Amino acid sequence: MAQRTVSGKVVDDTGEALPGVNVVIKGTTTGVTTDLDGNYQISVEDGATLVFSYVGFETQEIAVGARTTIDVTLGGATELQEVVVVAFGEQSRKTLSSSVSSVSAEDIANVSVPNFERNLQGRAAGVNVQAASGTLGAPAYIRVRGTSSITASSQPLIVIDGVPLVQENIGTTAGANGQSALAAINSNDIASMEILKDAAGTALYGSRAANGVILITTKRGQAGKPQVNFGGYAGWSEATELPEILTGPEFAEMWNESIIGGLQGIGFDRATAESVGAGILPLDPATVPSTPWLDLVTQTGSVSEFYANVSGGDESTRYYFGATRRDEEGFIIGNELRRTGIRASVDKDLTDKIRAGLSISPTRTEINRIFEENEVNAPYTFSFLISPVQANTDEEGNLIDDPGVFLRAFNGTPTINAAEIDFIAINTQTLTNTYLEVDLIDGLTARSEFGASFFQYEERLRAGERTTRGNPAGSARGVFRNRLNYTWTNLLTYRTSLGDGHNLQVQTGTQYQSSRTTQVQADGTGFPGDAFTTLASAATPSVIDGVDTEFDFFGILGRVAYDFNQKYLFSFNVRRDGSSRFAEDNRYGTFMSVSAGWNISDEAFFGGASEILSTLKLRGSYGQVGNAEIGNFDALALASGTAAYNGNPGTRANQLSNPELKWETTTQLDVSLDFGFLQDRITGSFTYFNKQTEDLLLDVPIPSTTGFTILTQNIGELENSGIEIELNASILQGPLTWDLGVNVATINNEVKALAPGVDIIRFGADGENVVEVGQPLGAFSLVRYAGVDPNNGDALYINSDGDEVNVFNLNDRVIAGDPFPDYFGGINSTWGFKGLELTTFWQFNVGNDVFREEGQFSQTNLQSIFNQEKNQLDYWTPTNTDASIPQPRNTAIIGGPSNGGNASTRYLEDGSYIRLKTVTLAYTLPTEITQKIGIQRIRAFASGQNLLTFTNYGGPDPEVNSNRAGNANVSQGNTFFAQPQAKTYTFGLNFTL
Amino acid sequence: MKNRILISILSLALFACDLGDIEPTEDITLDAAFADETALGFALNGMYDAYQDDDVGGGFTIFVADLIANNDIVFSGSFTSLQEVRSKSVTTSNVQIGATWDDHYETINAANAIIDAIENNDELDDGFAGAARGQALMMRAVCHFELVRLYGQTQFVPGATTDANTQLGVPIVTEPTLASDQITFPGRSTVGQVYDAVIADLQTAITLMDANGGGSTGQFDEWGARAYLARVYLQMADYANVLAITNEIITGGGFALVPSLRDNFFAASGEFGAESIIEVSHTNDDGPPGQTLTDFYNVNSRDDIDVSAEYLALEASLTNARMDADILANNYVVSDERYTELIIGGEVNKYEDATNEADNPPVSRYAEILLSNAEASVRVNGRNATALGYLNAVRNRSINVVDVNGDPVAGVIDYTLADFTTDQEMIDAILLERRVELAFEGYSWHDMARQNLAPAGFTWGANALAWPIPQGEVDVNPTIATQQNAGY
Repeated sequence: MAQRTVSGKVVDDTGEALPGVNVVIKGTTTGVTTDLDGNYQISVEDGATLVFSYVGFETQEIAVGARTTIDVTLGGATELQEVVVVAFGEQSRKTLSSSVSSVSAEDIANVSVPNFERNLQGRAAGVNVQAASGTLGAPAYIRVRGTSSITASSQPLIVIDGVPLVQENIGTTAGANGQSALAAINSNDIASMEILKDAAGTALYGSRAANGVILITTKRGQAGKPQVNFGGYAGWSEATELPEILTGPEFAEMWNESIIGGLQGIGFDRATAESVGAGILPLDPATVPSTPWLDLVTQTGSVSEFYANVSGGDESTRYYFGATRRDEEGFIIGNELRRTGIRASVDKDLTDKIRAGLSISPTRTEINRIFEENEVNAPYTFSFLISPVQANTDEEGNLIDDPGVFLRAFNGTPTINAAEIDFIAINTQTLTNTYLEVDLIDGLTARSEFGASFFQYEERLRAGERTTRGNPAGSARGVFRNRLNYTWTNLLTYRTSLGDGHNLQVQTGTQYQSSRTTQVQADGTGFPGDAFTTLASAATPSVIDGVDTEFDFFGILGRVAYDFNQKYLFSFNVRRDGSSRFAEDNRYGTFMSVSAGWNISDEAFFGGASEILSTLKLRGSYGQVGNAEIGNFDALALASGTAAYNGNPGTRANQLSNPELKWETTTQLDVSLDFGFLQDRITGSFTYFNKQTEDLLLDVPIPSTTGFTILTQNIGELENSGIEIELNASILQGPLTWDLGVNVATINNEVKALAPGVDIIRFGADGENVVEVGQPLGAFSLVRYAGVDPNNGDALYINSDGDEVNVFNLNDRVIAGDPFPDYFGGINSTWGFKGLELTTFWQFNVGNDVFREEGQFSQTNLQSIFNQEKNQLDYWTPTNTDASIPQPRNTAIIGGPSNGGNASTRYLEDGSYIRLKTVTLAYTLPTEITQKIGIQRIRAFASGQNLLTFTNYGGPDPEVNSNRAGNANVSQGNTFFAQPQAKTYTFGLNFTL
Repeated sequence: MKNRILISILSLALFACDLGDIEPTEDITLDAAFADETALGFALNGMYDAYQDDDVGGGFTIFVADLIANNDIVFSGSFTSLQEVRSKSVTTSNVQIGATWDDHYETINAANAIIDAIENNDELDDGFAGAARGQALMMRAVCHFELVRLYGQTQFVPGATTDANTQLGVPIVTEPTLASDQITFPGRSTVGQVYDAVIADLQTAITLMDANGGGSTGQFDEWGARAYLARVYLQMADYANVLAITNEIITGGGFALVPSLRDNFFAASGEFGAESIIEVSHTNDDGPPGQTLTDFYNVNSRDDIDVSAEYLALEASLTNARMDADILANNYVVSDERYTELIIGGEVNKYEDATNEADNPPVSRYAEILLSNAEASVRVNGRNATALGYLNAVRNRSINVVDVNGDPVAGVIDYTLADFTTDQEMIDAILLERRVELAFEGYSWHDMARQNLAPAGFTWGANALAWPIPQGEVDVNPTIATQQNAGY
């Protein structure tokens, strides 16, 4: 038969040329792709059929016949079926009957965040992300549909290209939470993030799915001519808000009053107190120094990120190569981040039935750490608290390291600590994934996939001899942590059409994951000078420590999905899952879910209404999943080998056995209505969910007289329920476009049961975070503060009889609030006009309470030696009896009981806020102009993060979450000198060649 | 090709079909931890490691005595929990009283586990078993004693019998908890019952260790057990027993005062010296860094503590009051090492290793035994030369008299029996010497309590002088929930 050439142009239904469309001769692997202008040319034999395929468009098959020119219009937007990544595969959203939220690369491109998980904040209904603080490298708490555990982790399972990550906070805690291992992920590599929220979506992850699953897909190449992208942004940052604290003279005046008040507090009359107090450490407001410590440790930070990548491919090979570099200097002096990431992926069709691929992405993240929160070495905390009457430098301008004897609680000063502590953390992670996929028979595909994370963390800390930590002869620390985490997944997937519109998909497979983490740590003190920076020069090795721990999981999974004409949808998912973490007899469990959907708008009877209501789909799911995020050996009775004494090795019992220990089980119901109006110009969904978690992995308190304080048991129940609403509207479609997306969710969390006889478990320094039956997890149990007694300046509390009293009694505690928002979400709005685009993204949390535990230091009407917030200035004196703040009584110097400084509702605040997370103004140059210089696309943009915040919160920044109680689930909504977030301004350019 | 690949994949998949056998590497299982002599030896070290903790023998039990007495020190630290201890206004959720409680019982459980394992293992060498059991019994006694002194509804009523001390003490725990089905919910015994149990354990420990030896350096031995027993009797004001037991130590223990008091403290030279009877080992990499004595007392560490004016003023009573005409006429220079060496610039200098904070907490040293013996001896037998000798021995070590040429002059500032016109005067002199000699070593509040004294602003037996049972315990133990101390 004769060979001849066929050519033509491929366009979409708006007439726009489509480059990179695959044009393949049916039944062969021969094919070409369209060029930039959508043109193609291919040699065919008579009788051939051409297959035109392009991602996101409907594939068309056209018999060539006698034609030599075939122009093709590929199915346009209304035909476009959104494809979402689901557990172990992909699925069109139309046939999906589970709850999946998606965040695409476009949503988060050019948004400056230090850690990728911040990009989930406010983007998906029901997904609440709270950064622990504004410190670079600080972890974030991600909660999908509430908090569903008390003792085990409530972080969702994060799976990146098939590898479930080990999420942990590592390194020196440094006063807060240490470093997030997720800091090693380069957000520029991410193509999409899917959040699986219900039991049907997550069941294939079995015993680890109860907190939801976040699937991250990284960028890969697509067929087409090479596309080169490069660009970046740069800008500066500052704190969203810094606390307002007393100046030297203000402090001095309040100090003198606090001495007199303190004496009155222990029984002196005012006149005597004044005369005696005048002799106790008086400060002269007229002459004291006034050092603005916070200003001295903060700066205008800077940020820049640059990327370059090339991707493309031909009919059988697709590739992607890229690199990213990020440099960031935080607004606290000394806090820096540098990340370099490289990524490569290749996908090859070995034959028309066999495909293989590899991706590899090494990333190195260096963070110059600072101490945080509950640490004197923390520049922010120390500057907040050190009294402003201390001078920073002497007359020659040298930093003073001994700023007076009194009021000096600690060695060093904030500025000395900032200058003379060198603290660096280096994450090096290589994520790699390789697969082989074979089409065995028509519709049956076997896939074997091996993914691994090679993770290393190195930390070096050197504190000089004048610093708080290093005094008097310097100290150093080295930490080296190593982890191999690999997953091997084998899948058989069979897709078939049974005819007459019946479609069936059957999937089965196995997944094995193994992770081993080792660490060595050494500390030393006593250096011959600050010039010696390594541990080698330490006179005294003071800590030598090691970790070696391991776990594995093995699961067998199965899935059956059926639909009839994409109208009636059913799926059944099962995973039999086991983990080394659980007791020998309880190692395996089976997790099942079912889901069903009904595309009502596809029904014939629906036809008439489609002008207004264009899409309507009802779906629901029900099933059980587990949570296995506990320690690797919690089931065993153990004696620790870290009980050496006087140089001799020792052992001591440190854990009671629990031979029954297994996963937590969450049973979740999910009912959703998806809808589209006006030919889907407005789409949205309304979802109700209810999660019942039982067999909680609970650290049940037991009498300390046993020698132990807790016993980890499967006991107790917790409920999370709520409503999620997502709305997307294309409001204007003319030359001026306006797209609006809103998501909002509610969350009701309630502890349903604890261990028999246990109704309440307290956490936190003063037991203010409670786990109490009938209350939300971590509810705040506090004595109610009632202001100031105008007669004597006493702090007043409300006792259990409802009377105002001046005695603080813990028995008067009531549930005064909880950390869960009533509703939370995000609003994303994009205006477009020609090449101009304005995007605003607001994020909000409403109805959550924050306990400012820091107030017990910074808002105590000066009861100790620490500086106070400006709001303390309206304090009671005999001449200011109508004051809002109780009489200053210095208990640290004088003694006597605290006057209002105990943990009470005085420090509980409404943490609601709405924040302009991102605003971006971008301009894409007209293609006609850029193509003249050989560039497809040039985009220039200016962007801002956290520029506006509306809140009644009294602290500097409501977006805080200190892990104070040592339990991230219970202590959410606490803050203890957590640094505010950064307000960032960036300008950038994107080029596509 | 296709089939081969399919077979390969399926067979590979079958390989990955079960979980590996993963054993912990940082811990061992409990049944192995007490199995034999070697394991029990490590368990003994582990028991001392628990005792070495900040909240047990590692510092706080010493430090809190100073905080409660609040007479020798000025505390200006920022920890609210400690401020509350100082001002006797602790709440039931005070973290320090919680930690002290928890960690003492953890140590008791470590001791009980050893006692139980030895009693149920007849294959052990008798010598090892006796020595190890003796140490564990003493540990249990030490912890119960420290607990009852802090949490008992009132202190032991000085001079009363144990039967008469019916106020609530602390739970006595003598069985180990090593499995979840062994968890118990004990109630509080009376203070007298706790003292009885403590004395019984110490007496058995003395017998066992006398016959079989005690532990190695930094561990307990029969003399440590006697020293502690003497301390228990002293707290009861049972002076006859104090005298008997301290006499045993003085005649049989082979201890001696080291030439210079500071030698007991300065880490390089003084650890486990001739004067040391019980001492908790802290090494650079074991124990610290933490909230140790050094951390709180040392001027170069947290420096939360200064020496009080009241304590500084005592120096005058020790020496100036005794400056007779002879001394004055000769222009002799009198100095007291306890003020010149162990206090510098108004700061405590007993714990001087600010770099490593590895000073050993001194639990009992020979000077205490001599002073206890002298006091008991006067109280039982009236003033006498032996008691005087011990008083002067402790005193003269630290007080130096030199002439104008700097040469030492002996004998000019010693007490003589003629200095005391009543027994009480001599007792007062011994108590004064004791306060100065043993300052910052954990005696202040307890020495007050046994004399029916109380910190300024309080009276003996006041509710505020007893710590409450920690809230955590009250919340989970229904028995103890009904037994909270009065006033909480």
